[in-house]
Amino acid sequence: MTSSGETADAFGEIVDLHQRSVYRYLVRCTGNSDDAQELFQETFLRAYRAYGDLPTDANHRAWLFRIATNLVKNYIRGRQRYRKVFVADGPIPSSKVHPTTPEQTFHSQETAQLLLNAIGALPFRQRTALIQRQLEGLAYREIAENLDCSEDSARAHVYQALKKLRAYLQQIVTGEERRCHASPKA
Amino acid sequence: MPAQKRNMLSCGFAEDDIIAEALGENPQIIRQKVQRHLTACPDCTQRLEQYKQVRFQLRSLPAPETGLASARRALDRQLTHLTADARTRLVLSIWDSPIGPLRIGTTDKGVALVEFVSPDDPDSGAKRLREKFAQFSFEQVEGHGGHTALTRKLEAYLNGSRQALDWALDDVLMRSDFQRQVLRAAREIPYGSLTTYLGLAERIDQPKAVRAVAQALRYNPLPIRIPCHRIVGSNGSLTGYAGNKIALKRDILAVEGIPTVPSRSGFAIAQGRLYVGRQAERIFCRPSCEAVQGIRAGNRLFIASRTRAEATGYAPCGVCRPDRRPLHVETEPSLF
Repeated sequence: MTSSGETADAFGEIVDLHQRSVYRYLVRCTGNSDDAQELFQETFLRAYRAYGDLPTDANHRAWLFRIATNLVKNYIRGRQRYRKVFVADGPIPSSKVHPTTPEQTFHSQETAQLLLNAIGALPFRQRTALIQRQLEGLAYREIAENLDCSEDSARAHVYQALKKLRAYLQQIVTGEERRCHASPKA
Repeated sequence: MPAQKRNMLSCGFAEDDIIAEALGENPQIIRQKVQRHLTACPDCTQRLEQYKQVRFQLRSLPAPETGLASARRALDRQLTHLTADARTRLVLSIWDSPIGPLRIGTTDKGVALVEFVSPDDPDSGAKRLREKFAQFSFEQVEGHGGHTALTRKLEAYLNGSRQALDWALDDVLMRSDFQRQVLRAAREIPYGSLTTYLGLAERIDQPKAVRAVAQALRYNPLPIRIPCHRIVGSNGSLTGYAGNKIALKRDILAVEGIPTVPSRSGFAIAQGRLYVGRQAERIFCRPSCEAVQGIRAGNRLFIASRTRAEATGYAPCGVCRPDRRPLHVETEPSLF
């Protein structure tokens, strides 16, 4: 058994190595930095308590994401009743959006915010799977473990999320083109 | 991934294959199939572009870093506390005292635990302790090896030859700051004197927290050393002690010269045989003295004897003159 001092040092290295991606992940899952800061601390405190029992060859990043994901799940559950689903009523971007070619279909400045809003409206599994895969580059195998599901389901969650994001952004662009006339179902 | 019916587009092609193509996740054979289809289907070509755009936009989201530095600082603070806890080591021993077996626990700072060991289940207390304070490390020593100096003093206290237990204390096993506050106030009640739960609540300026005060005393990790036995019910009854060890409370009070009498609910202090001290004025009276009728519980102290009152720095009341008309002939009490 290692002494508590050595444990603390080794754990400090893990924090140094993964704090950025864990923090990014939490901000994107929660949509605000206050809650993300709280969950960040809780993630690493839980990790610290469990660190002694972790196999030496464990994948620390996947393990931290698993802890963070569980906290996000509780967080979303706690917030659900207050959360407004705004996809249908989301703010229409200003008339600066002038889609011309398919490459410019989504204008990047406004789209970033719209995209974050749309991610915030996704259900827990789709949201966390999408962020883990597309923004943090976790393998479907790791995501499946974090969400307690099969690899196929993990992939399906990501694809489902992408479908919603595409439909959402498309709907806004189409709405712009038609000057907010009723948009067809994408 | 097998194309399922719900994923079919109007052209009959699987949408998941388009998404996988945009993400670069298709195996070679599906890629060829997609490419063949795209040459014939402008809808799917546009859809693929849109998915590529979604992916591109996702990847170009700014990386949020605001707040990371302060979150890290807060984390480091908490980790420092945790590692300090991890270094806390409790050495436990059992001493077969005149009032039954006592578990004594010390850290390198001082005594953290005195516990009455249940004769039916001697290990239960230690087990509970290990569960509740899992972050500490524990060491059980045989006999009372390292604790001899402590137990010698405790033995002297229990046979009435010693009044102050001057061990250094460690409050790590206390449950809250409120409990620390209550127990600190309890330590101010002198040897051979008593107050009530209400009296203690008033002493910490929380007169409504009587029950919380009683709970804090009930879970006193350092009984005897922190004299929670010097606190009784407002009607003088010896309410709970370390759970329900009323007889034990009676024995310890007897050591300090506090007489008790049987009462309806078990035992009560014999109020007629105790002087009443007015703490604010540092004056002690006979219990029947007018001057002590109706004074606040927080200002009242029951005192076993003139000797104790004077030792605590109280002067006799000029009206009821407890110095001229003592309540009883004083002898030094001893239980053993």
